Amino acid sequence: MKIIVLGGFLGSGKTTVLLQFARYLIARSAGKTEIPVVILENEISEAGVDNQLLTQNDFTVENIFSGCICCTSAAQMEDTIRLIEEKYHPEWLLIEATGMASPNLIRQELRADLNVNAAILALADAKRWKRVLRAMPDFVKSQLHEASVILVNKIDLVDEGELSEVCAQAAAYQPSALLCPVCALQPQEDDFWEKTAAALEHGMTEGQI
Amino acid sequence: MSGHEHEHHHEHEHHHEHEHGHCHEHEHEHEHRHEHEHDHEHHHDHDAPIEITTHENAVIGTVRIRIPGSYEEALEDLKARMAETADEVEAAGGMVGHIKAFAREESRTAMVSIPEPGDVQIKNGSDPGLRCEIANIVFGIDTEVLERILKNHYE
Repeated sequence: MKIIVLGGFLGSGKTTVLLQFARYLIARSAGKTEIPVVILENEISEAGVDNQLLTQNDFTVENIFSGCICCTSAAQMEDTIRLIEEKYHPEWLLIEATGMASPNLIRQELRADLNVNAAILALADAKRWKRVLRAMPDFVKSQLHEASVILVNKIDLVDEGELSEVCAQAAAYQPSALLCPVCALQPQEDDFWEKTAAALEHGMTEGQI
Repeated sequence: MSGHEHEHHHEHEHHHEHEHGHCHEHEHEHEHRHEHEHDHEHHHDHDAPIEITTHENAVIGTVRIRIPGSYEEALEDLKARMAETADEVEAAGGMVGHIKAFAREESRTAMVSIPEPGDVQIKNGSDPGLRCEIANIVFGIDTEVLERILKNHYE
């Protein structure tokens, strides 16, 4: 089971990207396995909002609510992943972290407890980049610095100069990451997701145990 | 493949002091991970329409509400309440992390009655409305302030 952790601040577009990427992976794996993709949805609130959207779109979804899997719900995450592996045997597990999580900590948990090398797909919100960076600089670093792929989202909401600045600053946190500016609301071509998947798979081999 | 989902609840036994806007600024000590006390508090009644919790320095307000009216009318109403909430959070000196909702239309009702075997009676009715779950994740304001804002719009 290949595990991808989707990180990014609250409202950065994680669920929107997840919908497209999961569809691509399911299409790519067609016929190989019954359930190629399972989504583990983690929400900090008591209400499940994203999971309802995902379930409505016919995805197989497991949920962890009202806690964050990088800290308060870490043990629960491990149990849930074991359950997913036993129950579905998916090729891919996509973990959508809360917008407050540090994906690098989730990655460390997975490596230490499950002996799995996950890859991180991180979203950076171009529109709110400066505000979030100013308020929470260490948080931004923790979201990006182990990412294999960084998608700078909402490029339609900033001008070219601002976008260049955001891309340069985001890239500085993890120069080896594949960095792509996107408007996640627009459908991306298959070759975009192919490149993304390849970079993530490469990320899983780095530091392999 | 049909969409299906499962929910895993966790026990709220954590209490951890952090000053920062996210989980774990500190060095991660794996072997003690599950014994840490986290700043993750819940002050709510599960039957209440508004529940306030905290995680690190985020304040999280969960609202469950039914807005009566047609789908279009109720959705406009929901959008307006959410937008006003966001404005008021910022006006109170806070920062909106994310305010999001999932809404489901409800319309027809049925009362099914079996007064005796073989006699099934159905009384149809109509009660249009929108069942909404709203997550309000904000920073920089007290729990009481968010609760007041949410009560103002949803009670």
